[in-house]
Amino acid sequence: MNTLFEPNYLRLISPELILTFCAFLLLGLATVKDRESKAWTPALAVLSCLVTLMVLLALTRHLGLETLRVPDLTIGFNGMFILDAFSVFFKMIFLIAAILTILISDRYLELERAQAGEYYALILFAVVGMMFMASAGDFITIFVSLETMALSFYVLVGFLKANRKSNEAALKYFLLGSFSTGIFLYGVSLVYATTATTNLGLIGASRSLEALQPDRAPIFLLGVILVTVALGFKIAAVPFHMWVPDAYEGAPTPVTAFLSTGSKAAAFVVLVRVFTMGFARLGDRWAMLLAILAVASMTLGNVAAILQDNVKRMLAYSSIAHAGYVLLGLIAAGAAHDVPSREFGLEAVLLYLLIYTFVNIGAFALVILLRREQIVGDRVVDFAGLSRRAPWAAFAMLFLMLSLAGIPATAGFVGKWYLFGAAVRAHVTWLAVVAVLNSAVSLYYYLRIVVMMYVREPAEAGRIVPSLGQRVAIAACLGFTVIFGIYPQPILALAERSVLALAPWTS
Amino acid sequence: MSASAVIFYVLASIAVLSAAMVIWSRYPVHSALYLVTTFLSVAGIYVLFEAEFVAAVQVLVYAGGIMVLFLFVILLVNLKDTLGPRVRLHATFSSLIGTAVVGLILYVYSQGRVPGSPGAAPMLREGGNLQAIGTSLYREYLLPFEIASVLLLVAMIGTIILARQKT
Amino acid sequence: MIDYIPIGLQMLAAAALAAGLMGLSTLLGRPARSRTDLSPYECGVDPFEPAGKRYTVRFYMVAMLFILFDIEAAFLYPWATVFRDLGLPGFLEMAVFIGVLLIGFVYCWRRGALDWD
Repeated sequence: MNTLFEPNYLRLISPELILTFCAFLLLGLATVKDRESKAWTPALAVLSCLVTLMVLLALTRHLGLETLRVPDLTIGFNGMFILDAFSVFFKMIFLIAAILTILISDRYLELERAQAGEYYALILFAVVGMMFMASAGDFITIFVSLETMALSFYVLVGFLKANRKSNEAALKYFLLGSFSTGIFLYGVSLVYATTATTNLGLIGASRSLEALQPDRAPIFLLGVILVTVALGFKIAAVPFHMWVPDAYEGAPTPVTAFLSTGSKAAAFVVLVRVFTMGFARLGDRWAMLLAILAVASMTLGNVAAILQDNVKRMLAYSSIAHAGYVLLGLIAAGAAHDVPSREFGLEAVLLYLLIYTFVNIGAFALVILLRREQIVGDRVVDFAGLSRRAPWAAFAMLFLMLSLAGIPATAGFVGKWYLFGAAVRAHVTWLAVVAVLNSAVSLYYYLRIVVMMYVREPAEAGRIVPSLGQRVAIAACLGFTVIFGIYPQPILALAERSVLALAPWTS
Repeated sequence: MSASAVIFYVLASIAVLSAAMVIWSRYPVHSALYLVTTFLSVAGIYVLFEAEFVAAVQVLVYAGGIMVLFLFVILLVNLKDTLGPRVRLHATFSSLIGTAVVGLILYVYSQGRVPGSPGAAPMLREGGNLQAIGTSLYREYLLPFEIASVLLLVAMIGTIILARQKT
Repeated sequence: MIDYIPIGLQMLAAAALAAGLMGLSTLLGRPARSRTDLSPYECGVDPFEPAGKRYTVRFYMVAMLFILFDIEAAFLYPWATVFRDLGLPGFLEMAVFIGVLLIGFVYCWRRGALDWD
C-alpha cells in the first residue's frame, strides 16, 4: 500500500498551519493571568493574519499559481485540498476581513466588559475553517471545515454572556445552523449514494453523468437541492434567512461584521466550487433554482430593510439582499452557454465579495463607533448629527452607504455593474432588471442614514473620538471604496486571473 | 422477504415509532428514553448492513455520551410551561411543512433507484471493516481527520466560554 | 450473521432478566394503595417544592467535555487496527490529532473547567 501523504502537502497547507499555530498561541495567552501581556492579544492576532497573508502570497508566487490554468500540481491529500488562484483570492478576503474585524473589536469588547483572549483565538479558528473551505475539493473536507467555522461563530455570536440578546442570537443561530448542517449531510449522502464518491472533481468529470441516468436522477437531484438549501442557509438567502436578523442584531457588532462578510464569502466559495466543479453538468438546472432564491432574497431583503429602526437589523436585511445580488453572478455562470460569459459571471462574484467585505465591515465599524458607555448606539436615530460630532467618520459612512447602494464612483457600483452585466450577458436579463429595481429601493434606507447624519441635529453634544484600530479600519474601508471605485482595474485583473483556475470546470 | 429484510423493517419501525414518541411524550425525560431506543435500533440497522464500527460509535457516542448530555440539559432547564398557544400554532404549522417535505422525499425515492452497494462493499467484507475504515480514514481522509481535531478543540473552547460561571 | 447469535442471546437474557425482576416485584410486593404512598417522603410535611431540582451548569460542562474526549477515543479504534500498516506516518498523524486535543485539555485545566468550585 502506498502512502497517500507527501511532505510536499505540508507546504500547500502552510498558511493554514501557521494560522492554526498562532491561534493556539493566542489561546495559551488567554489563560495567562498577567494583564500586561494580555493587552497585546489583538495586536498579535492582527500580526498572525498578516504573516499568514504574506506566506500565502509568497506561496502563490512560488508555485506560479497566477498563471497556472490547470491546478493539477497543487492538489494535495488525495484531492481533499486544492490550492489554486481561486482559493487564494478567497483566503485573502477572509484574512482581510479578520484583520479589519480585529481592529474594530478592541474598543468594543472593552465597553462590553467582555475582553478575553479566546475571542481572538476563535476568530482565527474561524478563518482557518474558512481557508480550508476555500480549498476543499471533497464534500468531507467541506463539511469538517464548514463546521469548524460555524462552531467558532456560534460561540462568538453568544460571546456577550451577560446580554440576553446575544444569548438568544447564539441559540437561534446554533439551532438553525445545526439544522442546515443536517440538511447538508443528507444531501451529500444522496449525492454519494448515486455517484459513489464525495470527490467534487470526480463527480463533475464523470460520475454526475452516470447519476443523471433516468433511474438515479431523481435521487441525485434531490441531493443537489438539499445541498443548495443548506448552503442557502449559510449565505443567508431567502427563504433560509430566518436566523439572520436576530443573529446579526444580538451578536457583538464586530462579530456581526465578520459574520456578514467572512462567513458569507466562505459559503459562497463552497457554493461556487461545488456548483462549477461537482454539479457543472447541471448548470441550467441549478441556475433556475438559484434564480428563485436570488429574486426572493433581493426583494424581501430590501423591503424588510426599509422597515427597520435598528441599524444592525437594517444591515442584516441589506446583507440578505446582497446575497441575492451576488447569486446573479453564479446564476450567470450556470445559465450562460459560452465559456467567457461563464467566467465573467464568476469574476463578478469574486469582485463583489471582495468589495462587499470592505464596505460592510466599514459600515459596521461606524455602528461600533456609536457604542459608548451607557449608549448602545445601534438605532438609526443614533446617527443624528454625526457630521458635526465626527465629520470624518460621517464622511466615511456617507461613502460606504452610497457604495452599498451602488452609486457610481464607488466600489459598490463597480461590483454591481459587473454582476448585473454578467446576468445580461448570460441572457437572464429579467434578473438584472429585478436587481436594478431593488437597488433603487435600497437607496431609500441607505440614504436615510445619510440624511440623519447631515440634516438632523445631534441629540447630544461632544465629539466622538475613534480608537487607533477603528481609525485604521475605517480609513482602509473608505480608501478601498474610493480608490477602486474610480480605478477598479487592479482588482478586476485579480478577479479575472483567479477565475481562470476554475477553467477546466467552467468550459 | 429475506430474514435480513424482516429484521430491517422491525428495527426501522421501532426507530420511527420511538422517534415519534420523542416528540409526543409529555415529559422530557421520557422523550430522552425514547431517543435512546431510536439510537439503539439505528445501531442495529448499522450492524445489519455490516457497518459495525458505525454501530459501535452510535452506541458509544450517541446512546452513551449524547444522552447523558441531554439528560443534564433537561435537568438544567425548567421545562414547565413552555408550550404556550403560540408554540402550539407553530408546531402545527411546522409539522404540516415537515410532513409535506417527508412526502416529497418519499415520492422522489419511489421514482429513483440507488445502485446496490456502491463499490466499497466487497472490500469491506474481506479483512473486517474496522481496518477498511482505518485505512481510508488515515490515508485518503487524512486532512479532514486532522481538521476534525481543530473542530473538537473549538467545541471545547466554546463549552468552557459559554458554561463557565466566573469570567 | 452467525457471529451475532451470542449478542442476540445476551440481549434476550437481559430483557428476560429485566422483565422477570419487574414481574416478581409486582407479584410479591405490596402494591401502592393511596396517593400518600406515591408522594415524595418529606418527614410527614407536605412537599413544598417539586422534586425535580435544577442542576448546576457544571454537569453540562463535564458532560460536554466527556463527549468530546469520547469522540476522540472513537477515532482511536480504527487507528489501532491498522497501526502497523500505517507505520511512522500513521503514528505522527495520530500524534498531531491527540496533540491538538491535548492543547484543549491543557486549556480546560488552566481555565479551571475541571475544578468543581
